[in-house]
Amino acid sequence: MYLYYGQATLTNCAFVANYSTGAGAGLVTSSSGARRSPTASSGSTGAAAARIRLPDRQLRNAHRQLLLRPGLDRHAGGVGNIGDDPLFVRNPSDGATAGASAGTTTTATFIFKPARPASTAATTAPCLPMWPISRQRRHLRTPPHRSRRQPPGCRQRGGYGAYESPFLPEPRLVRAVSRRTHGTLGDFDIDLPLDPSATPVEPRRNGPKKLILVFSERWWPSMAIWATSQK
Amino acid sequence: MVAVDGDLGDKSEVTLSGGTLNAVSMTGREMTVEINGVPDRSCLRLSLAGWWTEAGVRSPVEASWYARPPR
Repeated sequence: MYLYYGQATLTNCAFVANYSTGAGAGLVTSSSGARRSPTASSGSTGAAAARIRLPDRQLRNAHRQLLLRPGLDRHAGGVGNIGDDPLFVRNPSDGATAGASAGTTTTATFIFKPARPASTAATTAPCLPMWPISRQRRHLRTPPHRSRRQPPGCRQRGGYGAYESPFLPEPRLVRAVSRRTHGTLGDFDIDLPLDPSATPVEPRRNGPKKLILVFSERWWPSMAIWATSQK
Repeated sequence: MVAVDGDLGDKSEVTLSGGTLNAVSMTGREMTVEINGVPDRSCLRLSLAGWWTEAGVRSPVEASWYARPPR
């Protein structure tokens, strides 16, 4: 998310599992009086905002593509809104107390609470005063149903918020193997059937020792960067 | 995919029908489950639960395999 010449206040927002192909993912401000208090980033890769997953699209090369109008804290309300508490909390197992002071960056482990608003996939709330404005507009894909009079990025139903993208794939178990390490000869894998009705396949004595499960979706560690810098 | 409790090391996300679960780890899309003590000629059922993805909490995943074919 790129804040450009804005005065937005982002409160208790979480940027989770964004992908960066260039300058990074997360929250970046430029010539902006935006404040983050506190805003957390989890599972995002990269150093600066370049690509962020939004409810109705994926923005590629989003650097300078997102402009938040001043006053993002005037969110439209509704379930899952970006103005809601994301219930993104520091993992109690950290054994430490959260609360980095302003101007500092602390690395900690964060988790979502089950009732997090990000679990809400949709809302009928009106559009937020926020839409992508691009200097590279050719990278934006406008859905065909959208009127040119509508702010780009504004859905006909629902608005931006702390949603989880419906475009993300369901996690599937795509492969499983039973692995044995045979001394200096190395690893020998036997494919395990994913079909419960398939014939048994681990013939080696003493059963499986190590199972390798491959999923369709990568694992995002719950490590987060909590940046409380105030601008 | 993220462990709901934020910790894979506690092994609470993986349940076995037999044997002993020693360790669970995950790198990228690969989860490694280290076990021992699975009896021969038994069916091992592995269940995964207590995780969520970017798209929300998912139902438990189960898979089962035989440890040596029954004769």
